[in-house]
Amino acid sequence: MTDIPRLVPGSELTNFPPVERWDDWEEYDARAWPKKVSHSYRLVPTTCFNCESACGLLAYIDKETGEIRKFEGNPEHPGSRGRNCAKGPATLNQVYDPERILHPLKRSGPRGSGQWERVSWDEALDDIAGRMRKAIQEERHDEIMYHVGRPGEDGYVDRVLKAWGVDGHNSHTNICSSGARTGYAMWMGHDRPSADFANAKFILLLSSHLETGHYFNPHAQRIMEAKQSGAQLATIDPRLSNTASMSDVWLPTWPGTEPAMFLAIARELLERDAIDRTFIRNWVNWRESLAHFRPASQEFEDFIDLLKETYDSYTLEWAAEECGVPLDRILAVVDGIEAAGTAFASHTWRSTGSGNLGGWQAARTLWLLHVLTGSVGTKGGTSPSAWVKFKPKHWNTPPAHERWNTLLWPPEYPFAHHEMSFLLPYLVKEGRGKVDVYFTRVYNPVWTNPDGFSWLELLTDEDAIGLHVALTPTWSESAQYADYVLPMGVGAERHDTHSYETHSASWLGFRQPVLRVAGERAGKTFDRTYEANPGEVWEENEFWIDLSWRVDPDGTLGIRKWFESPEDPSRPVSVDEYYEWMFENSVPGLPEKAAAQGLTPLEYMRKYGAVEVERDVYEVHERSVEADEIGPDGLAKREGKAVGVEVEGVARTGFGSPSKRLEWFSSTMYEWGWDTEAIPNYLKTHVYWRDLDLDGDERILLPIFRLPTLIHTRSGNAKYLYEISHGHPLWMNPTDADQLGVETGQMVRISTDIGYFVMRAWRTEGIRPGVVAASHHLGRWRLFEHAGNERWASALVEIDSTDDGRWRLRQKKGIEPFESADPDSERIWWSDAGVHQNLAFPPHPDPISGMHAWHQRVRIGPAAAGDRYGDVVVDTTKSFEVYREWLQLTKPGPGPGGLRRPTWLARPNKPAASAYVVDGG
Amino acid sequence: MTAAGSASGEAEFWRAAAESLSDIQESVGSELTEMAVTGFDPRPDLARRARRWSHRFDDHSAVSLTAFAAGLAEVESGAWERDDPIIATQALSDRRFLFGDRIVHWLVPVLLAIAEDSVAASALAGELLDLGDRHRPAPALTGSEGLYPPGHDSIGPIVESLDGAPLLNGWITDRVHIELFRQAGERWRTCAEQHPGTARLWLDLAARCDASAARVIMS
Repeated sequence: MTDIPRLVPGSELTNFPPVERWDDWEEYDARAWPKKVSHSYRLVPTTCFNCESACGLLAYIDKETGEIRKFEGNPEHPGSRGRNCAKGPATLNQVYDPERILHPLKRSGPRGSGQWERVSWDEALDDIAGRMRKAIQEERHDEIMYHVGRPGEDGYVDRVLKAWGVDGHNSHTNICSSGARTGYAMWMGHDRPSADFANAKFILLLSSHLETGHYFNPHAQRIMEAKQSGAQLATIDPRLSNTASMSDVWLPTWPGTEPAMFLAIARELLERDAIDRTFIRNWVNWRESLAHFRPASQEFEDFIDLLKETYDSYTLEWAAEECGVPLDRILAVVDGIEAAGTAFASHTWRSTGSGNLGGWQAARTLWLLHVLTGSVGTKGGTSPSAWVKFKPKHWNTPPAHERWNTLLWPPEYPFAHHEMSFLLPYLVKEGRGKVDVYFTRVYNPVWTNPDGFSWLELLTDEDAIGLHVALTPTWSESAQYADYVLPMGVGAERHDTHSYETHSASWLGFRQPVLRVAGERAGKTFDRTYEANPGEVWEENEFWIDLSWRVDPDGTLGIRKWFESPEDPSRPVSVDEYYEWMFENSVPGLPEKAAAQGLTPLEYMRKYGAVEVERDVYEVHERSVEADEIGPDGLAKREGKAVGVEVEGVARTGFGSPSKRLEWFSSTMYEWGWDTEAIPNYLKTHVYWRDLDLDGDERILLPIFRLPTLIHTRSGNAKYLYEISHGHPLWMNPTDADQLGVETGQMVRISTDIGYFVMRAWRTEGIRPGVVAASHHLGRWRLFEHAGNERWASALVEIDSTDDGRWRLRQKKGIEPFESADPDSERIWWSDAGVHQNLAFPPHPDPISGMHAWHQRVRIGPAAAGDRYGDVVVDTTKSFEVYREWLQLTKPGPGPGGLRRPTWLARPNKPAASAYVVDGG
Repeated sequence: MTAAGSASGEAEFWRAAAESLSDIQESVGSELTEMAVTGFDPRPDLARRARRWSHRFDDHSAVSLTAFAAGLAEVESGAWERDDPIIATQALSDRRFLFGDRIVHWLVPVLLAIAEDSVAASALAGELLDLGDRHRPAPALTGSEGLYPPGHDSIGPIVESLDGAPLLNGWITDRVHIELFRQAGERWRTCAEQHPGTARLWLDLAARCDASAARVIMS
C-alpha cells in the first residue's frame, strides 16, 4: 500500500491578512532576503482602475516611509475575491512612474509643438471655468463636451452635466460595445448579459474571458469553478485564444457569421423540441409577434410554428458551410445547450458585435438561445446585467436638462446605443458644429479611435476645438495636442464607486485614495485629496466640484447650488459629505452592516472597500410588483407609468422593454423603418468572406483583441506590463502565409481602404485561414523625446503630411533605455513598440447600433521597397468618403411622433422628454 | 458533479496510479524516475513544489510523484467542501503543473515502452493521456510559440538528446534503424492527434524521431 502524504498548506499559502489586522500588518521585506527585515504596513482597500472589471486591491503602505510598497487583491471584494491579474499589482508602477505628469501643464507653443509650461491649478481652473461660463451665458451649451474613455463612476459626471444644463456627455462606447448592447437591448431594454458561470453546466463564449475582456478576472475564476464541477466550455473565436485553448469546443467561425450559427442552433433546438414552452409562453411577446406576422393566428403553438418557419432554412449543415466550422462542433454546442437546459450561460461583449456591420445581431441571436431554453435569470443561466449591477443614488441630483446635442446624437443614428463619438471629426468637417471646451478624460482618440489622423486634424484646428483639456493620469498621443494637461489620480488616488455584473450577486465597490485614507487613519487631516497624492495630482470628483464652483462663483447661473456643502453652503461639498449621503441613503443593508460593527456606512466602506448588496439574484422578472392598473396589453401600471406586466394573473417586474416582455419582434425597430432587422436575424457583414478575393491577396483583419497584460492607453506607464508584453505580430495561418509568400518575422504591408501600415507577420495555426489578426494594444508613439508619451511603451516618431490630407507616421526609433529616477528605466531590454494600426482604419458606423465595425477588409503583401517597420500612411480625404458611404446606410429620424430617438432606449445624461421631440414637439 | 467530487475522483485515480506504479517498478526491477529517462534532475524543483504543502519527498520516483498528486487532489477536494477556493485552486494549479512539468512527458513514453509486457503499464499510460486531455498541460498550438529557449523543446535540449537519445532508447532499445524512427514518429503523431491535451509533448517527440532518422541517413 502506497502512503499518500497528508498535505498541509504551508506558510506560503496563508490566506490574506485578516481585516482586523489591516491597520498593523507585519511582513518581511522580500528585497532584504536572506536577512529577515520586518516592515509594518497599513493596508487600505481600493479598486483597480486598469480595466473595467473594477477588482478589489489592497495597498500595502509602509508606516515608516509612508510609501505604497505593493498592491495585492482585496479578499473582501465580492466580485474579485482577492484575485487579480497582472494589471492590478502594476498600479504601483503607475503611482511611482518617473515619467509621470505631476503638475498642471499649459501649452506654450502651437498645438502639438511639445512646448509646455507648468501652471498652477488655480490658473488652470479659472481659465477653463471662465471660458465655460461665457459659453453658458451665451447659450452655447452644446459647445461644452466631456469625452470619457474609462468611466469613473456611474452617474457622477451625469450629475455634473445636468447641473450645467449641458448635453455634452461623450463616451468611448461606440468604439467598444454598442454592438452587443444593442442586440440585448432590443430584446429586453437591458443592454448586457450577466452569466451565472459558477453554476452553469454549459458555457458558450464569444470572447476570451479566461484571459481578457469585460470582467474577465471575476468571470474567469467562476468559469473555472464550473469546469471543475463538470461544465463544458465552448468558445467562438477565429483565434485560438488562451480561452479557446482551454475550451472543450473551439469554433473558429468566419467573422460576422456567428448569427447564422445561432439561428441554426435555434432551429435545431426547435426541431428537437428542446425548448421551455412555459417560459416562452409567459415571457416572450408572442402575441405581438403573431399580430404582426400572422394576424389571423392567436394560439401559442402558432408562434412556435412561426419560429420554425422563420428559421427553416438555417440548417446545421448550411451553418457549418456558412460559418466555416465543422458540423460536429456545432452539434456539440447544440447537445451541450440541450443537456444544460436552464443552466446554460453565455457571454458576448465586443468580439463579433464590435467587428461587423450588423454585429449587434450576434447578441440578439445568441439571446434567442436563452429565450428558447428558458435559461434567462436562472441559476446557472444568464440574466440581464441590470439585475446585479447596483447603482446607488447620487446626492442632490439636478433635474434632467432639455437640450439635444446633434454632434453627439446626430439624426442619422436614432438607435445608436451611445454617442456617435468617433464621428466627431467628420460631423465638424461637415459644419454641423464645433466645440469650445473639450474635456478628454482618460481618453485618447488619436490613438484609440479609427482614423486617428482625422482626429489629429480636428484637435489641431483651433476653430473647431476652442480649448482642449486633457484630464489624464498619463501622457497619451492625444494629450500631446491638448491645451491643458491636468494630472489626475490612478485607481489608488481618488474616489468613486463601482458595481458590475460579475456573478449572481450585486455589490458596490469603493475606490479611494489610499495615501489619504492611510494618513487619516494615522491622525492627519486633509481638505483635498491632492494634499496626499504625489505632486499636484488631483482626483476628478474634486476637480468637477471646484470647476463648477468657479463657473458660477456667485450662484447666478444656478449651478453653484448643486455643489454647496450641505453643512455650510459657503464652501464646496467635500467628498466625505458626498459619499456619506450615498452610503447612508441609497445602499440597502449597508447602514445595518456598518452599525453592527460600530461604524458609519462611510467608515465601513473605507475599511472594507466593498459591500455585497444582494446575493443569489435570480428570476427578478418573476418578482411581483404593486400596480394600480393592468392595461389591455397586460402592462402593469402605477400612477400611469409601466412598472411590470401581468403574467399568470400576477403583476410581475418583467424586463426593461416597452412590453416588459422579451421582444422577439421589435415593434420599435419596425416602426422606425427597420423591417428584416426587427427580429433576430442574420445580416451580412462588410467583411463577408464570400465577397473576398481569398485566392488573391485579400483577407479579413481582426484588430480588436486584447493582450491580457495591457489595457489600452492606461497601461503605458506600467513598466512591469510592458516588460511582459511588447510585441503584436500579425497572426497568419500557414496556409495563407504560403499563398502570400510570407514567413514569420517578415515585414508585410497591410492595405486598408484609406492607406496601409507595415508590421511583421507570425505564422500560426492558432487562427483560421482567411483571417489575420493583430492586437490593438500596442503601437504607442510620441513626437518628442521627453514629453508626449511614456518611454517604457512608445516609439519616437515623425509625422509628415500634405495639404491634400495624406499623412505618414514613421518611427525614428523604438523603445530604448533611458535615465530616470527609477533605475529600471536603464534596464529596458525590449525595443519593439508595435504598430499603430488603428490610424489606417476608416470609420464604419453601423447604421443601427452606431458601433464602429472594426474588422477590415485588407490586402496583404510583402513590404515594398522603402517601407519601414511601423510605417502608417493614410489619406484622410478617403476616410471622409468612407464615412459618407456608410452614412448612406442609415435611416435618419425623426421617427414616430417626431421623436429623435425611442424614449425607452437607454441614453447617458438622459434629457427631459421634451428634448426627444424635434423642435420641442 | 461538484468540484469537490471531481477532485475526489481524481485523488482516487492518483492513488490507484501510485499502487500500479509500485507494482510496475517491482516488475522492472528499478525505480522509474525522470532523471533516469531524460537526464534532468528534478529534485530542486520538486522540493520547491512540495515545500508550500509542508511535504518532503523521500525520493523522486514515479510512485512518490503520483502519491503527491493524490495528496494534492485530496486537499483540493477538502478545500472545496469547506468553501476555501484559494487553497482549492492552488492545489489544482500545483497538481496540474506537477502533472504537466514533472510526470506526463517522461512517464507515458516509459509506460508505453514496457506496455507490451505489462497490461497495467498500458492501461495507466492510457489513463494518464486521458487525464492530459482534461488538464491540457501541453496542447498543440503552432509549434513555434517560443515557449522554450532556442535549441530546446518540451523534453529538453534537442541536440544533446539526439546524441544520447536517452528518451528514444526506451522505444528502440538497440535497434537503431531509420524505419523504426519513422514509425516511432508516426506513433507519436497519432498519439498527438488522439490526445490534444498533451499533443505538444508528443509532437516534440515525433520531431525528435524525424531528426534522429535524418541523422542516421546523414551518417
